Amino acid sequence: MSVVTVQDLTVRYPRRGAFRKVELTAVDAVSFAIEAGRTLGLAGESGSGKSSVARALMRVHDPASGSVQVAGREVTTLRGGALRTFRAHMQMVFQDPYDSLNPRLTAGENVGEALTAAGVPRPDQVSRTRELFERVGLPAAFTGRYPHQLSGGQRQRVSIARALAVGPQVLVCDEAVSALDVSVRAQILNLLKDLQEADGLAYLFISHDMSTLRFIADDVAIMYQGRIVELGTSAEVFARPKHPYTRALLAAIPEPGAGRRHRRGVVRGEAPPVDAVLTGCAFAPRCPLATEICRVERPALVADAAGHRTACHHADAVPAEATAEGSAA
Amino acid sequence: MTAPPMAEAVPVAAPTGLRRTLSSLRHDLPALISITLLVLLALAAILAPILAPHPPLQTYPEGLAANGAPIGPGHGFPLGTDPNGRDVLARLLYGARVSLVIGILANGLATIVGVIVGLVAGYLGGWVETILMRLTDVVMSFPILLFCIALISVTGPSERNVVIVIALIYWTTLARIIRSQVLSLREREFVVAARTMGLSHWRIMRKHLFPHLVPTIIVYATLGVASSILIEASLSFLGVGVPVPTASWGQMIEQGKEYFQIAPWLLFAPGVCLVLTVLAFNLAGDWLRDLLDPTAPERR
Repeated sequence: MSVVTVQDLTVRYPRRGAFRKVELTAVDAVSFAIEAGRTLGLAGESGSGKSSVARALMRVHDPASGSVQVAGREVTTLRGGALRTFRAHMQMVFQDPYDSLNPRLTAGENVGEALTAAGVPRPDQVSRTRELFERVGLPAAFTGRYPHQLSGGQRQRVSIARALAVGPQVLVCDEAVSALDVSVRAQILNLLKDLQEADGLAYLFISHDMSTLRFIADDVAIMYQGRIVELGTSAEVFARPKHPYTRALLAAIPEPGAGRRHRRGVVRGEAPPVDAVLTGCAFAPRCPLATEICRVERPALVADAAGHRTACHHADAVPAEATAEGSAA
Repeated sequence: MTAPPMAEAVPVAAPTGLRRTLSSLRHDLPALISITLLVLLALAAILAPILAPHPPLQTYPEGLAANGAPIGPGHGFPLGTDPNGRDVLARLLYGARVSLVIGILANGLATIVGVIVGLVAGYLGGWVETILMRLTDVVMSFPILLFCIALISVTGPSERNVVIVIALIYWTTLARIIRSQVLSLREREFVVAARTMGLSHWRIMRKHLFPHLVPTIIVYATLGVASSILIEASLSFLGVGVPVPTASWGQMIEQGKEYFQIAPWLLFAPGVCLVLTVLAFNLAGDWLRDLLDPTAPERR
């Protein structure tokens, strides 16, 4: 049973043109589902729309169209008090541990704000905050510290405690470990895994770092230019990437040791500007496999027998090995 | 600020400790002078009944020369007398009360209005922002003195009306500044987090936005007092401010202007006080701005 079901989510941002209003489509008809206790990893380069998906889900920015269902309820139509109450189902851990906590409040007060939002009476907040700190592996004494007195990892733990305070079923982690040292990153990822196991939380885990996703994600969705180009179980996508863009992302993971030869140069150039009007496949201009059809017809997200979805005209045509060498094509 | 829920919360070095304040004062001569001036001024205003050699409204026949002209400093009147034979020093001290109280009250009111308008407009956005900011533009577009004179000629001059009128026009600058700060603050992750956890708008504004605006508010409130005192002086000078016979600096200048050739002290005494006060408030405002916001670029 999916806790989160997203259907054709489209997010647009207004841009003020010289004479008319221009809209920028950051997320274009994205669909996915997350089951309780599972993690969907959302990957893609800067500007691919990952964070816009998160912001739309959290109703920080209202989506232009599409449907988001959380715990069986449509989120996109909620307003005012109903939306406020419903927010307890879904919480977010932010990217920047130096900006996501209110610097004028202590760590404990930051968590206390979430408890207030959840309607926990003030006298109970102290003990609840201590419990939450314990859950995320922080000493209770840290409740009295200000964010600037904590390290990045500690701050991120406070952020997680704050997110857990309202008792959510879904946790959206937007680059939640990207700003952390590698060693601290592993600790936070393990903490997230433990919490998931204990509470059956569903995670939407956004990251540009494929090795992080390989560690934490059960399913992986790859975004490019506002669309999902590949979606499958983590095992499938990492073992048998079908979209040339996914292959390029995977080839970019640094591998320790000389066991595997590093292949680069699969993707050339930069992503087109986000407001470029493209027909056909958005990846075609950079794709080593692009043919005429790619420039004319936009590929649909098609599932294979294993349920592994890919939006590429050549997904099945070329085996993985050939693509990796395909930069000459 | 409400009491923190964490009982054992250790007090930490706040961004602006008392020690830092004092050391910054020691290294900043203009600031030191301006703060000293403001303290002296406040003392003078508060202690006016004790310091003044005569009652401010009392006319003294011996304070006028044989030909009816005001007499200069000395002869029992340290700063001379005015054309009515009243003691200038006494009027100056009591005038400080009026000028300071009107300046602080009017600017306090303006600050409250400006902060509320800017905060609400910046945070809520949408049509609320459009209405509030267009209203701000409209008020800003009025010529200040003309607007005040028009309003006071309708309501009648009194100290209360002067305060209200100054507040009515002076909230706009702060409203704009606060709004622009809120616009950038609301995109900060901790504010977004406060929204996503389902806190009420009121609480987000009060606990997550307002505390970050306090340095700006303090600075502009300080600078604004100087402007308000000047407007009060201008209005009184034009005869639509504080009604006679109450002394205010602007009004003393107004009454003295016809005699400045024979009795220049009538202009110099209140004029010098006015200049020094405004200067002190401005310097103190600059100093506070630097103290509270060391990374911010110069801005006015």
